[in-house]
Parts: sequence; C-alpha cells; structure tokens
Amino acid sequence: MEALQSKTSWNLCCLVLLVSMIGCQQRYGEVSPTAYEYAKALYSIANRRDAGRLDLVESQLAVSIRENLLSAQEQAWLQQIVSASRQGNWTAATRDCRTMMEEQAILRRK
Amino acid sequence: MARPRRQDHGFTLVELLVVIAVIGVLVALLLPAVQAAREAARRVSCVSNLKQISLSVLNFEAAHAILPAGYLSNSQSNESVDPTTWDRDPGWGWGAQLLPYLEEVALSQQFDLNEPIWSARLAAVIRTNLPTFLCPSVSSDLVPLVVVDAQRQPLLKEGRALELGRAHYVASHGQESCWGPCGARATALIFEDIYTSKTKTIAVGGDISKIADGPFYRNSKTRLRDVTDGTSKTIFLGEHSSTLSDKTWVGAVPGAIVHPQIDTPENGAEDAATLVLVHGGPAGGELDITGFPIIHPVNFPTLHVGQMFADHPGGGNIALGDASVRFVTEDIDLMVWAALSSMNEAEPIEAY
Repeated sequence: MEALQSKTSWNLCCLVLLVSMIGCQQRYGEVSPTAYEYAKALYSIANRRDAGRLDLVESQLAVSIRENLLSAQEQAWLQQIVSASRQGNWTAATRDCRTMMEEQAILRRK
Repeated sequence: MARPRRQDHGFTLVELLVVIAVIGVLVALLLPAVQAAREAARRVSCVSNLKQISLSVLNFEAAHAILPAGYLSNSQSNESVDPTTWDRDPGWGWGAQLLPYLEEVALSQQFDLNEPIWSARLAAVIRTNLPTFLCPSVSSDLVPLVVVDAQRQPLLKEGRALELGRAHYVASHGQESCWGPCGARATALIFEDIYTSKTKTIAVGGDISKIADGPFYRNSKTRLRDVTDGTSKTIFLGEHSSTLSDKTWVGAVPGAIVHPQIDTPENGAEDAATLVLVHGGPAGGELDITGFPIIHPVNFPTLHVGQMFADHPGGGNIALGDASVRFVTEDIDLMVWAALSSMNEAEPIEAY
C-alpha cells in the first residue's frame, strides 16, 4: 500500500512538472523579419475579417517561399494562419498572429 | 500490568508530500483569482487617475478656450533648438500645463511656463513623481526617469543630467505622427484617405498642425470646436506603461531620445516628443506588405514607444474628449481605433 502511495505521489509530481513545462513553452520560435511582416499583415486581415486581402497575401507568400525567404517551419505556421482565416476562424487567426509577434519581443528580452 | 503500547501518530513522508502537493495545487488554483482581484483594484485606481486628468483637460479648456499644447516649443532664441526636430525650449508638456487643474497649484507656482524645463533652479520640481500621473498597475520602478541621448547616456543640459517625474499617461497626436526629423522637414507624406491607402505630400516647414489629426502636438492650440468627429468619439489621452518606455508629465526636452525597454524586430528609439505624446496610426507611408496602413492600437505587439501600452491584461484605458474613460481591448477593430484617433475625419465609428 505504501509503495502504491509513493508511486502515486511521484506520478503526480511528474504530471505537475510536465503540465507546467508545457504551459511555459513558446508556441513559435524566433522568426525571420519576412515572417514577422507576414504575421503583421495577417493580423490586420484577421482583425478586419478581410477575406479579399487573403488572396493577395497568399500570392505574396508563394513568392516569398519560392525565393527561400521563409523557413519550412515559418511557411507551415503562416499557412496554418491563412487556413484558419479561410475557414472563418478569424479570432484564432488574430490570436496566432499576435502570439507570433509577441513571442519575438519575449525572445529578444531573454 | 502491561504498559499500553505507544501508538505512532506521526505522518509518513509520502503523506506529508501528498499534503504539500495538495496545498501547492490549491495555492496554484487560488493565486490567479487573488491576483486578478488585486489587478481589478489597481485598474479602478488607474481609471480614476485618467478620469481626473481628462476632467482637468476640460477645466483647462474652460479657462483658456483651447486645450493644453502637446508641449511648448516657442522660444525665439536659436540657442536651444534641436537641429534634428526643431524642438526648442521651454518644453513643458500637457501634463505640466494641467497642474493647476489637478490640485497641484503649489507645484505649478514654482515654475513659469516660459522658463526652460531644464533650468537649474527647477531640478527638484521636475523630478517630482505625482500620484495622479502614475497607474498602480504598472509594476516597473517609480524612480524619476533620467533623460538620455541616442547612446542611452544622460543628456546634459547646461552641464547637468536631468531627472523627470514619471507619467503612465500620454496624450494623443492622432493617427499621424510628426516628431523627430518630421518636425524639421519642409514637406511630409500623409494619408489623404486611409481606406484607400492614398497618400499625399504636403508642405510643413515645422508647422505640425498641418499634419497632426489629433488634439495634442507641438504647440497645438486645439479648440473643442476643432474636434469635429465629436468629443465622445475622439481619443484625448491613454496609457503608456514604463514597462515599455519612459514617459513624463513634465515635457519634451530637445535632443532627448526615448528608448524601448522591450525590443521587437521593428521598434526602436524615438525623439523627445514621445516623452509625452503617442499616435494611433497610420502615419503617412506606414503600409504593411499588402499595402494596408499600419494601425497600432493599445498593446499592439510592434511595441513602438510612440503607441499606447498598458500593463492590464487584454487592453488598456483611454480617455475620450468628453472625459469619459473606457477600457479598450487590444484586439479592437483597427479601423475603429484609427477613427477614434483622429479628431476631424468624419469617419463613422462602429460599436467597440
């Protein structure tokens, strides 16, 4: 019984530690100036629910990808935001753009 | 007779650890609620200060028929002129002009608005921190700020470094901004129509009234009748926490530079006017990669020293021209923010 209690407390401690580590983790890493510019533009598109400007930003994104101005990870993040906007998840897209921009400030502060 | 066996009433180590863990979890659950309650109280106090200041703006207007100038720069002498910005003495800002209307008569009587703020005899006056200008939600330190130059070294005026009392409130220059080199340029690019991103170049020659579309700027003399969008639809004042950059109630010192405390890929140091003023954007020529004007509401993550920034979670307080104070979410519709920032562009404003 005592062994079981001890095991349970260890599991509990590990769980608490894991949850706090996940909570503290950043969603985005450091991004390039180009990706930052896209995050800023996508923020205003999502904020304004401006579906018309999504086409424009997507075509610009394709050019930046061709010119290797964005890493694969940045492409994935930005395209995820574009997809969320396309599906009408404007609030989620706004939040993601803000998070990406805010995390650049946090990274520079460290 | 056998002695009764001593019973062991102590806790095992595991039991103790579990109790500690349970207490820890409970504290972790309660702490955010306690902190939220404390922040709510601080925010009420912060709103109250902003309300007092915005009422004093209207009292000033009642007495002078104009709003206080963003900051005063009216010397005929060329000795103190900053060649980059054309800012001159005396430099007193809107906050200093409001002191008699904020029950700070004694302090206001210690200086003359024609005297440069860096006069040696005023050193103690200008370093005074006034509680009305301080928002309790701001956690950064409250020691008077040291005026610095581009290299973050103390800016010397008449051989002395200057310390200024802090403020966590700023006045609105409008959508457009004109400080730094703009203040000394012959021409400037401004938005003719932000809805079509159309810009035009106009002659300025140091007269910022030709650019500013908000109530407060260098030597502004705004009358309430100039606020044609309506006082209840125009931002006069707002918050700017010293977590992002130094602000003061005293004024703008020619040659001073305001540095951000938090770096982002796009912010940087700005000129002396941002010690007392901010703008809401867009300023002429500020377009994003899709050609859309860049508008920066409170807490916009670009974190310019010339924008509003509050330490409250989710947004910040603004004071409108009718002295009403509202909490505005940081994700406010950008066009609504732009419309609230200008005072005379006749934009319709949706609910916000």
